[in-house]
Order: sequence, then structure tokens, then C-alpha cells
Amino acid sequence: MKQIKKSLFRLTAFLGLLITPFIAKAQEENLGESLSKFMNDTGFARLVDGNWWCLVMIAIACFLMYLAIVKKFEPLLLLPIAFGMLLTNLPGAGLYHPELFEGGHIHWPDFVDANNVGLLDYIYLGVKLGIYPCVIFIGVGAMTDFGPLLANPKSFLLGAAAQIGIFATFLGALVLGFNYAEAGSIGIIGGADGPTAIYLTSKLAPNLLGPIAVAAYSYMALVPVIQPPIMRMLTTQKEREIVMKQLRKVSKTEKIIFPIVVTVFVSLLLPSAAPLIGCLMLGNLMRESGVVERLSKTVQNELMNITTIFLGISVGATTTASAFLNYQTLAILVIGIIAFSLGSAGGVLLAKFMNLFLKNKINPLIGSAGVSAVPMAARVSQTVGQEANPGNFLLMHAMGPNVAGVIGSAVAAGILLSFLG
Amino acid sequence: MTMLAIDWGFALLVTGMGMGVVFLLLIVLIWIIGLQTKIINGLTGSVKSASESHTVATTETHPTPHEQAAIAMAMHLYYNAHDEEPHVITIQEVEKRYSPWSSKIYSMRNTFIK
Repeated sequence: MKQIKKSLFRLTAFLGLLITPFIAKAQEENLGESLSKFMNDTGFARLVDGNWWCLVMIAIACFLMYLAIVKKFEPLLLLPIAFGMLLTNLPGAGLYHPELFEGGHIHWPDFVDANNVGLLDYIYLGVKLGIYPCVIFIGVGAMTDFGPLLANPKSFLLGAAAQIGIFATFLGALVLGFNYAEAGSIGIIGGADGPTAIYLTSKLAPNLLGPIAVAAYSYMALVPVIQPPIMRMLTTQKEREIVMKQLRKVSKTEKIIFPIVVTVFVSLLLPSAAPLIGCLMLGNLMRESGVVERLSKTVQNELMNITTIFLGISVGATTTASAFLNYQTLAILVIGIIAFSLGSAGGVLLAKFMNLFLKNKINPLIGSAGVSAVPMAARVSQTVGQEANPGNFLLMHAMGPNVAGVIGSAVAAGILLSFLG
Repeated sequence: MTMLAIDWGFALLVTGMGMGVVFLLLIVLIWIIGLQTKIINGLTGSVKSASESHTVATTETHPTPHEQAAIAMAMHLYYNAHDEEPHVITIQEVEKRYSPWSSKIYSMRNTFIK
């Protein structure tokens, strides 16, 4: 056996020596040209060749990854978004081609030539067709307990009041020079609902998808920083100390009927909100019915996680340097935080107003949870409430306006879509 | 110039109608939920109003709702605290896997084969 191996090795070496001069001769003429072509094809060469702004975008992507990994700012979405941003800004990689989606339309004929289509172009189709946000909403529905809302339906009003941030910001964005569709998409940041913001923006102003998604998720992560000062500013110590009456127990039948009724009613009144509300309530029905445990677990975990990966990467892919490094992004970041603050303030102020008429007073701190950053906004209400009165437990009370905010922002998105779409 | 270029009538219409529809829709949902609760309670034979009967029911439970909230909060804080703990490696039982390095076949202490 050893002898055979030795012979084979010798034969190969001999053949190699024999053909080497021929190969060298053939390549000698084209070597310089090939080397030059290779050098010009590298991303480094393209960076030098006027694509320096890609370095800025790569730096921003690294900063977002730092926020996600070290500061834990909404890492589940910020990390894929940041990595998508990194991939799309690597010169020469050709993973994403914005021209395939130019003018807000998908240029299907260009998809035929596979050489001109990158991996992220295919993944982005899920955003463009409005699939990912709706699938995520199924998962959100399956993870949401509408019990606190059903026990205290007045919470719906707080959820509605928090949507004032959306419409006030819509006007503000118009003043800053955005068109109606863009202003509507920027306004939805005030709803503090990532999938809704992405869904609406992909329909109304896809050119702003990257900045709006980054702003929405960054501010959602900053809820514990943004909301408390507003809540303290708008309430007195006495109001923050209000202890609310214990919520009643909600029967299983009520919880099962609720998603069906809401889907039928909202979809009939506002058909443009049907995809979001329908998916949210489908997930919730899976959870509450208790007969499809496997499906419920799947949409809460596997399906939601897979979709989150695709959604994050494809949203990050839209943040090309030309789409991100401009005045509009800066304006969106500034208006976004105003939208968020106005939404929080709207809920708190309406709660104070309602207290003028209610026998059983409500703690105004739960009003800020009307923005739909679930469950972070409710946790903030709990934390600020306990600062004023350590024996006060507002978490479950705040979950009512919190989940009402999810429905409210989906409805607001439907309205904006039907007016501006 | 930008301000003048905007059709403020339309913008205010969208804003007003938008907020109005959100409020209207959610107010109607409050009414529907109330109605739904009444019907369900009626079908299940509850004579008392929903809020009264349920308030009594929840205060009688053990642990009391306040205790439940305290437990929930404590658990929340406990798990959050766990998330921030340093990852100290502790002694962990691992199943013994085969490796030629630990195999008895290649042991030096095997009996001599003649």
C-alpha cells in the first residue's frame, strides 16, 4: 500500500513539473492585467475611488452594534439592522440594489437576471410586500394578554390619546418640508410600534425606511430614559401616589371573543388596518383558545425569531449611504423623539382629564404606557409609580393602555394609509 | 415658502379625522366590550353586575391580588438581577465521552498479551 502511495506521489510531482512551464507561459501575458483587474475589483480600491462615505456608514453600523451588544438597546432588532447596514455598505459586495425598488415599486423584470440581484434584494421583498411586519404581529398577538384591557376598557381611551404624537408629528414633518406620505411615515414613530412603523413606511415612503426604523427602535429602547421626566413634569406627587382598584378577573370566553370581535369591527370600519389588526388578533386567538398550543408556541418563538432576523437585515440593507447620510435622517431623528414625547404626554394628560369625572381615580402614570412599546412602557409606569409610593403596583393597570396602544397605532396606521396611500 | 406650499386644509383634515377615527373606534370598542361582558355574564347566570361580582371574587383569592403583584414584581426583579450577574463558571457534571486518550484499550496498564 505504501509503495503504491509513493509511486502515485512521484507521478503527480513529475506531471506537475512537466506542465508548469506551459501554464507560466500562458499566464505571463495576462498576469499584469489580471492583477490590476483583481486589485480594482476589491472593496478597498472602491473605497479609495470616491466611496469614502461607505466608511462613515460602516462606522455608524459599528456604533449601532455597540449599542445593541454592550448597551443592550433592543438588541433583537438593532443587531440585525446594524449588520444589514454593514453588509449593504461594503463597496462591491452588491448585496442590495436600491434601483430594483426605485419609485416605490418592485421592478420584477430586473429580478430575472440573477447576476444583478443580491441576497438582500430577495430578503427585502418580504418588507416591500408587507409580509414581515404582519407575521411579527401574529407573534406579538400570541404573546399579548388583553386581560387587563378587558378588565378596564377605559384603558382604550389612554391608548387612543397616546396616538396624538403621531398626528402632531405628521404636521411637524410637513412644516419641515417632507411630503404628505413621508410626513405620515415619520409621524408613526410616535406610535412606538416597530412593525407598524415599518409596514406603513414600506407602503408610503420606502425611501425613508432605514432612518425611520432606526429612529423607531432606538427610541423604543430609550423609553426608560425619555418617559420618566415627562411623566414627573406633568403629574403631582399626590397624583403619582394614587393606588388603583384591583382589576376584575376576565373569563376565558371574553378573551376568546375579543379578538374575533375586534378583527371584524375594525376591518369593516377601516379595511386598510385589516392586515395588521387581523394578524395581531389571529395570534391572540391562537393563544387564548388554547386548542392550538403548538401553533401558538411556534408563532411566539420560531416564526417570530426567523422573521425578526429577515426584517432586521433587510431594513438595515436599505440604509445605504446616499439614503442615510442626509438632512432628512437628522430631521427624522429629531422629530421622532418629539413624536415619542408627545405620545407619552398625551396619555398622561388624558388620564388627568379623566380623573376630573371618575369616581375611582386612575393613576395618570399609566397614561404614558399608551404608546405601544410593550411591555417596556408599562414597566416604566410601574417604576415611576413605585418611586412615589413603594406599595403601589401599577404594572397590570399599565398593561391595559399599553396593549390598547398597539391596537391604536395599528388603527392610526390604517387611517394614514387610507388617506395618504 | 414650504409652509405656503402645504395644503393645510388637507393636512388638518387628516389630523382631525385621524384622531377622531382613532378615538371613535376605540370608544365603540369600549362599548362592545361592555356589551360582550354583560352578555357573557348573563349567559353564565351571573345576576350581579360584572364589576361587583368580580371584585368580590378577586379579593377572596389566596394569595391576595396585592400579594400576587408583589410576587410578580419580586420575580421580575430577581430575574433581571440574574441577567446582570457575571458568568461565573461552576463545577458541572459532564457525561463521559469516548476518546482514544481516555480509552482503556490503549491503557498502559493492560495485561501483557503473549
